[in-house]
Amino acid sequence: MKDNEIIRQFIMSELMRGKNVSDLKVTDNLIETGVIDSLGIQILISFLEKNFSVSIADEDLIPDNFETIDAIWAFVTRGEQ
Amino acid sequence: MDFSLNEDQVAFKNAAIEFAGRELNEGAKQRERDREFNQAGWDKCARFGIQGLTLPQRYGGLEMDVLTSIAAMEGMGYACSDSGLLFSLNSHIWTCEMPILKFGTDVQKDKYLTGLANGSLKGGHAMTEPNFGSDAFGIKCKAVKKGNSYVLNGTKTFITNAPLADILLVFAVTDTSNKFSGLSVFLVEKSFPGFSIGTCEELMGLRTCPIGEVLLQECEVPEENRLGNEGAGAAIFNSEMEYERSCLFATHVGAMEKILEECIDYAKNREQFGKPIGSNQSISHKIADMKVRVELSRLILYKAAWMKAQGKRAPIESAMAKLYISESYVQNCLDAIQIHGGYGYSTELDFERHLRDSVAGRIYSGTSEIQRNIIAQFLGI
Ligand SMILES: Cc1cc2nc3c(=O)[nH]c(=O)nc-3n(C[C@H](O)[C@H](O)[C@H](O)COP(=O)(O)OP(=O)(O)OC[C@H]3O[C@@H](n4cnc5c(N)ncnc54)[C@H](O)[C@@H]3O)c2cc1C
Repeated sequence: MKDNEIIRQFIMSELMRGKNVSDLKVTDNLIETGVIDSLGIQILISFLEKNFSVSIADEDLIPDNFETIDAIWAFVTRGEQ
Repeated sequence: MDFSLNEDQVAFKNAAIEFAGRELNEGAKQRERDREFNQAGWDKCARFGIQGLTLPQRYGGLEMDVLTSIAAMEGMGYACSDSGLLFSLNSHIWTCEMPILKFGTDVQKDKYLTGLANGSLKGGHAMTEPNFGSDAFGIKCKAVKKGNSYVLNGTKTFITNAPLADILLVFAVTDTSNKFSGLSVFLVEKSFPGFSIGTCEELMGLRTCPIGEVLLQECEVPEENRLGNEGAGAAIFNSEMEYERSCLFATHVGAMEKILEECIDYAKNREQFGKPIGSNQSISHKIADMKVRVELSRLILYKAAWMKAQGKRAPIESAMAKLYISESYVQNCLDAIQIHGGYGYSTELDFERHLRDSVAGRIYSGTSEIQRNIIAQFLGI
């Protein structure tokens, strides 16, 4: 069973390597804090497509969908609602 | 994974080879010396359908899939000795038409795509600034909302097609607090008040391609000319770069194929010490290595283009394609010059021109170093 913890873990291990990662919350703004940048978003998307069996269009790569872990979770599970 | 070309695709590629060889080369050497854009060639390409390759028929395009389009562009690269014209066409297709097609509103598509497809409009994109090249998302050009318009201020440099462009996709900051999500894109027409063109440094190659500086001084752009939402600039740029890095380099693969054939021919016919130079292993191995680079370049090009044709994203594949093809093109040009000796170094043959043109490929669309950074980061390093 997948939940947003797997996204949190991925972001902490892959996109926040070398930074203090102890307190990443699902509501933290990932864009304002620079956790997700132009390349980071592409790496994250590859991960999401693989792990959530979703296909993400370029048009969906807007900040609103990736601002927080909660937003990412809502975005990748939107088809299930 | 199957990206072999079918009969129709091969026929279309051959038609592009025949067209380019017949129509685009006359006077190319002199135009290169004079740094002159081949407007007549541009018009002929439009009539053949190059500018409309990927665009839907409702805009007058040929509506070819990505694979067929790059097969045709590979043919153009093989037969056309005016790399500046090819580069101009490539920028027009991949950095202007494609993003408008993908992200534009119906009104924007109706307004611009027909003219871009029939070649009466020229387009390009403007991201790079004097102090922000590789660090593209650090740009400072600002767009401030004022009523139903945006007011743009900034300077863009090394912009392909700028001196002749009717419309440019200009990247500007709409939210200074966010580097990545603060970028937006605007369709800026040359007639907009506050838009002007400056000259760039003289470049070593691609001399027939118009490249210049874009000056935006209180340039007023109507809100309906914003491409995508506010903050969508990074997504548009990444999407555009994937197409460019996957597809623009088709012409390079075509050029490399032609250079290889010329080297094989020369190695068989040029005699020194009473035997063909190709009978020396140092020459034949050089040619074998050139062949390997051409073949692998084509494979990675077709793989990346095939992924785009499937509607997949190909960030790492397009970075690998861009890196490998551009580096291979430079190396094959150097080898071709070496194989042709003093004649290879002369301006009489075309290899030194190819070399000058090829070096640019390691810089534009993100330098080789940046492609390596992307690949490494995808590998988790
Ligand atoms: C022929 C041509 C056409 C172009 N057309 C366009 C166009 O149409 N539109 C547009 O917007 N731009 C265009 N450009 C600009 C092009 O995209 C930039 O030149 C390119 O991105 C590099 O930026 P720069 O020249 O400022 O070099 P810099 O970014 O200053 O780089 C200098 C050197 O440092 C290296 N470097 C920088 N950062 C790193 C890093 N993090 N890691 C490792 N190495 C690094 C680079 O690889 C390079 O070797 C064009 C350029 C050329 C040459």
